[in-house]
Amino acid sequence: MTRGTQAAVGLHLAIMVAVLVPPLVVRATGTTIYLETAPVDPRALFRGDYVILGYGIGRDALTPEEGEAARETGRPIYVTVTTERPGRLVALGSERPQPRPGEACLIGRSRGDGTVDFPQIAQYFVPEGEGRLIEQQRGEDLLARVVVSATCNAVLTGLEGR
Amino acid sequence: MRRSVMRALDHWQREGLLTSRHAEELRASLDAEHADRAIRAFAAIGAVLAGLGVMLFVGSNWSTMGPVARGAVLLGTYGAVVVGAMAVERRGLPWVAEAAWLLTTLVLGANIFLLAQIFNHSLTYWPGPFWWMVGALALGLARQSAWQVALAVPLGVLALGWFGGGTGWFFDDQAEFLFSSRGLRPILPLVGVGLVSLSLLARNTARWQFASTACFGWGLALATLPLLISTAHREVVRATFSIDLTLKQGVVLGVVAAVLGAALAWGRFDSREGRPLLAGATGFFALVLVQIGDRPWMASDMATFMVYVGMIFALALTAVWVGARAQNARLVNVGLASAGVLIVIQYFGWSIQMLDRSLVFVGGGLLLLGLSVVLERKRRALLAAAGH
Repeated sequence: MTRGTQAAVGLHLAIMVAVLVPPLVVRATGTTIYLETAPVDPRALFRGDYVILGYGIGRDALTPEEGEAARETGRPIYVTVTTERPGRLVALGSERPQPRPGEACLIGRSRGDGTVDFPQIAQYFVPEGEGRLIEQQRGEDLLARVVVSATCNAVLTGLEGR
Repeated sequence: MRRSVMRALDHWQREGLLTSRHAEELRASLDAEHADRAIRAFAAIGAVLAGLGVMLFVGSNWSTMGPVARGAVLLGTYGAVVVGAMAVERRGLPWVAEAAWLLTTLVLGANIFLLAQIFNHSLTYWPGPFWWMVGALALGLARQSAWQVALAVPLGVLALGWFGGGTGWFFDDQAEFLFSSRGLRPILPLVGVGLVSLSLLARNTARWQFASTACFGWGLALATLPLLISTAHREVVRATFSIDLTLKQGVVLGVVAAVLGAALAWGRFDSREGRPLLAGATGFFALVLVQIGDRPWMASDMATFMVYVGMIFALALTAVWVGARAQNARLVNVGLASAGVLIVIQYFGWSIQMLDRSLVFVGGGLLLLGLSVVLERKRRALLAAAGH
């Protein structure tokens, strides 16, 4: 193996390790919050071995005009929630907030219709065959356990009953 | 191949070019190679079966494995593929080795997404394909492999399409970058121009020459396919080239313009006509984006649509001519194929309206047969004249 190939293989390994760094850092240093899941309209999006999750705090969070404007610019929406179980919406903004004790923030994106979704925690990988059952349970009875960092990045660590 | 070699040995022996002893020695070495090859074939089949068995075992136990075990399996698989590629290369099988290294890059891509999946970390947006592309380019540069670039280019287009917020963040619009007027769809031909320009610049440097063929091929494909598809109907033109001109589209077009300028100034063309063709084609692709009201100008009425179709046909024939002069077989093939496809599309588009359906299919079949004969003859004549 030439030195160039060795370097390329080393880069491959570094990329694979680097993929793990962001979620591991968030898990190790972040704050745990619990969010009510919501059905994702307009259809059940069961895809093989993972489920698609929406969240109650994002439903009708913006006016249609605000939502469309946010989607146009593509800028993230910072959502502040409490750390209660389940978390309650505190505030929305286009600037990263400084959460107070008992609060945490996470990054959302506008769909354009007033709904805010959270792509970082939108999919949950489950054992084969369990996805549809979990999708049916989405809603107030199913809480997502999420770890969020100080920079509002989130990692979904599990699903629990209320 | 073995039969051909045996026949050749017999022929040379009859012609007195080989003694019987030499011929026997050569036959014996071939038999040894044949026996060795049979053993290697069994070994290869065994390796494939073992590999399939490992994949089935992993797949059936994946859900019961913890994160550490999953990570170890994925990294171990990558390591095994690298070792296999090294072993094949040491045996002096260059093509098989390149295929094995390509497999390494494919495993890298699978691992990027599977490792992220372990922690429910979504990488189906731009970071996943972007880092996969970087890995492919790095290995391609190290091995001077065009195959790696052939994989890297579509990954780069995917990452570019998904880059930037507002679209492609959600699962039901991840294809929006391809199908939306705010995505890459209306500017795909110009993205193709960018790739062709990169290929011309790459030919100037020994280090990056390996990337030229793949960039050129993908560039031609991206430039040609949307245009050909759009000739089916005025509404298809509108669907293909309606553009909202977002900031991201503007930046992409700016970068394409810069790369094109560099290519026209410093790129290596094989003929004098290459530069005017590239510049002219780019001008046409840009013209296609001019909107009148809410639709592209060529979708306004039937007359302008026919002018548009005619211009694409002329562009295809020009590509054939330039390809012949530049001895560029790929350009000739793409030009002829585009002209042929255009004729077929127009035939079916018009005849279905004007003729009985059965006559349409009879005529269409005869047209395809005749066209294939004419185009193939023309292609061979052009390529023979060009020295291929």
